[in-house]
Order: sequence, then C-alpha cells, then structure tokens
Amino acid sequence: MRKVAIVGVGHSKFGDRNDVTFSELAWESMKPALEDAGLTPKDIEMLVVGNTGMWSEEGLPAVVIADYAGMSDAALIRVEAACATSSAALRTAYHAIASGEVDIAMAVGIEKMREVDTPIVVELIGRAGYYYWEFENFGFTFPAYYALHATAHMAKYGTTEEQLAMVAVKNHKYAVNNEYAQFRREITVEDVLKSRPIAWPLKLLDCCPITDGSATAILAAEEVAKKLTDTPIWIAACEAAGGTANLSKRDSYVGLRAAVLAAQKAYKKAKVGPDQIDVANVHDCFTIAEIMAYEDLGFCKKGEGGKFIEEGQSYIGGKIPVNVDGGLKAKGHPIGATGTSMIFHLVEQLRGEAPNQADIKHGYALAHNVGGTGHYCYVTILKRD
Amino acid sequence: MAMAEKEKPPTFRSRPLTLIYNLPYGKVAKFWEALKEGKVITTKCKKCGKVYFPPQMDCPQCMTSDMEWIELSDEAVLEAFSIVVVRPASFEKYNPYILAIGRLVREDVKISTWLLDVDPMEAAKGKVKVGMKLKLVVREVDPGRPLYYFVPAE
Repeated sequence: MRKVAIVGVGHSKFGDRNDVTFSELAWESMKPALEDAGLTPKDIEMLVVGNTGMWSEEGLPAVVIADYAGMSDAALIRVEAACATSSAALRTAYHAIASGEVDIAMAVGIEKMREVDTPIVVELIGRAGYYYWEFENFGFTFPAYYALHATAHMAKYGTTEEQLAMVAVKNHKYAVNNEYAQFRREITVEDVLKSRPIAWPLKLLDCCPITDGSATAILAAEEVAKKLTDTPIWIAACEAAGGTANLSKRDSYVGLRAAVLAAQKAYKKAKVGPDQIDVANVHDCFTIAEIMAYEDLGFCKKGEGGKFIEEGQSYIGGKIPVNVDGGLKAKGHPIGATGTSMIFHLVEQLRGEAPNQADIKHGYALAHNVGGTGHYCYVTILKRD
Repeated sequence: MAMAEKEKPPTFRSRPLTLIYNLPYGKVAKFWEALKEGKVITTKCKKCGKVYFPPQMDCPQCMTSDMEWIELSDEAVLEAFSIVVVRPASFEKYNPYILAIGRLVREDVKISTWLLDVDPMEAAKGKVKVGMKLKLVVREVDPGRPLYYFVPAE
C-alpha cells in the first residue's frame, strides 16, 4: 500500500443555505480545495461524493456535482454511511490511491437538509436505524437514540445534565472564531438546562442543529503530494467498524462498540496511543455523544467522561482539545459533510493555521465520525512531518 | 437578542412525492398472528439454541434456517429510556411517548418499544428509573393493531 497525503481542503459556510443549489454548495468547498492544492478539476482522477440525501432532490449527487464542476470524465462514485458519510468518502478515496489505482482523488462531503420541513427531517433521520422494527411502530427518533444512552450513562456513572450542558458550552465558545460555523455565539449551562426538551434528558441545546454545508479534501499519492505541497498531511490510519441496526441488540448503552473497535484499529495502524493525539474532532451530534467519545477513544477511563469535561480537560490547554472548531453542536451537522469538515479542521490544526490553535507536540490529530447511533464509526488519524 | 429576521431566499416548490412502502412479513407471519392472540413469540435456532428478537428465520451463526417458535416470558429489566417530545411527522398524532429498551430476564434478549401506563411528564421526575422491573404485554394503542409494549411491573 502506498502512502497517501491530504494536499488540499475546502469548506463552505454551514447553516441554512437555501441561497444556493446543491451543486453550488458543493463547489463552495471544492473550489478552495483545488486552489489550496494548486490543481484544476481536470487533475482529479476520481471523485467520491459523500451524501446521505433524501431531504434534497438530487438522486445522483456525484453526477450532478461532477457536471457542475467540470469533472464528468472522472471515475464517479457516491457513498453513504449516515452521519459518517464523508469519512467513508475519504476512506474510499484513500483506498483508491493507496492501492495504486489513481494518484489524485477528491472526497466531497455535502448535505442539504433544509429544503424540506423540520418534521420531515425528524422523520427521515429517525428512520436511520432499523426502520422495520424500531421506527414503523414505535417512532424512535435520532435524538431519542442518544437520549437512551444518556439515561443509561447517568444511571451507571452518575453523569449529570449539567455535565452534558458543559459540552455544548465549550463547543459554542470555540465556534465564535470559526467563520464557517452555523452558530457563532456563546451559551451558558443555564441556557442549555432551560432549553425545551427534545428527547428527554436531551434538550434543544444538547442537540446539533439541522444544517446545510459541504467540505472537501483532495488526496494524493506520496510522490505527487511532495511535488504539490511542502506541508502534506499524511493519513496515518482511516479505520472503520459497524454496529447492530437494532439498538435492542447492543451489549450496553454507555458507549458505542463501533467507536471502540474503530479506534483500536486506527491506533494500531498509526502506531500511536491516545496520549500522542494533540487535537481531536469527535462526533458530538448530541452532548452525551461527546462524553462517550472521550471514553471510547481512551482520552479518559470509562465512566469518567462527565468529569473530563467538568475539569476542562477537552479545552485548549487541557489534556486533549476536542472540537475546538465548534463541533457538530455549534458548527452545524450537515450529515454527509461532517466527516470532511472534521478533516478540514484537523488539517488546519496540523498546519498551524486554525482559528483556535491547539499546541501540536506529537504531530497527530484524530477524527471520530459516527454514523447513526454507532451504526457506523470511522476513526481517522492524521500526521504531519 | 436583537436578531433581525433574515429575508428568505427565493426557492421553487418541487413536484410532490408520496412514498409508501409495502413491507413483506410473510416469513415471520406467525409473530404478527400471535400478537392478535395476546402472545409475543419469537424464533430460536434448533441447532445452537440462540434466541432471536426481532424474529428471523435464518441463523447466520449456523447457516441454517431450521428455526422453532417460542413464546417469550414477560419479566424484564429497564436498560435505557427516553421521553420523545419532538415527534417525527408520522407520529405527531400521538402525545409524547416513552421509549424503553428492556432486557428479558429469562431469555436474555432485549426489546425496543414504548413504556406504557406512566405519564411521560412524571417519567422525567424519577418515576422511571434504569434498572426498574418491567412486564412485557400486548396492547392495542391503535385499535385493531396489537403490538408488544412494556409496563411497570409494580
């Protein structure tokens, strides 16, 4: 397998983007990524589009984006892994280059969720589990899937609603400096606790918003990457694992097995441990998800995630800065774009160009991108020279 | 907060699309028939003895389809719950409902469903606790549509 580097990244403004079409929104992150890499659309041999769809009108997202961007001759593919969709796109592009099939590939993550009404989004995303057994008759919703984990975690480890709120407070604080973020305002623990219940114990400000956005990464083989840039960001590992469709088949509800498995594989492949990760983006679709991520990734012991945020260990200056771009919570969560958005931010961090810069000591950054409720998990570790 | 309502950008309304799927249930028809008699049954692999819930007619562990139907016991323990306030479009006709995952003590299988007979507003105030004992029952929340639910055991 060949070494693969990220040579260009781009990001659109996240939020309510009914000011642009699907293709226009994709191009908003593709163009800066091409400029960053010093490439043109004709240089892209393979275009991998991560898009979950359903709420947007296009049935063949890779095709319409390639048409708009002048890339129709490239090898086109669309991939889906729920909220981990563009991590799956990144992994597909990574494999194509590592195997020697192509030298340059682009992974575009895009989601346009606000073209339909909110109850329809709640309906569609609630179906992202096992429709037949858990949605058709019982209406499990996406916030509820995570709320189940919150009640289990609170009961077993004494995690509190205040600790959950602290995750949202941290991520909103860091989003203020992120020009691409949907919400650029600080909130307090009281604001979160007083917000209206969505799926108790999760309240409105425990939940990520419904977001439109796109983010792009361009990948290249080692020899090509070295010609294109002086600061290639290497993919040290991009690993994945899955989880049962039925939540009822899980061993427990205090963590995500898919995340633990994907993290173990990624640490092994990259030959690093959690102590060598300088900065991380984790999948905080709901506040409880970030607390479980600290534990599943080994940033703290099982059950101590609540204490970890309470002590400020995931702030810059703490044990490991987490989601210092605002996370899904405040930056927004266009589900198919979130994976490459995490990569965009971590590349900025490793290049030393992030708005909220962490101290890079070991040269490693980690992205933890969960699809559904632990139905998929992708863990990517990036490295700078 | 002084936030001026932003003017909405111009959009076209697309052609509407209504999607209704026909969900096959032939292979596990016995499961749905038993509910009409007030029983919750499921499948068990005759070779390895693994109990499946939801029922399925194939055991991938043994690569066999030689399954038997068993009736489930009704004693369960609550593992996780949530009160769904913001409902999906197709569930808006219901009041807020309590989702529960309970583990059947005898079979050691878990079931996802609603927890009935508890006011959802009371559930958040300590009326429902992880670890509490539950009973598996068959009820018709929608008349003519018997389904499996949990209720508090005491």
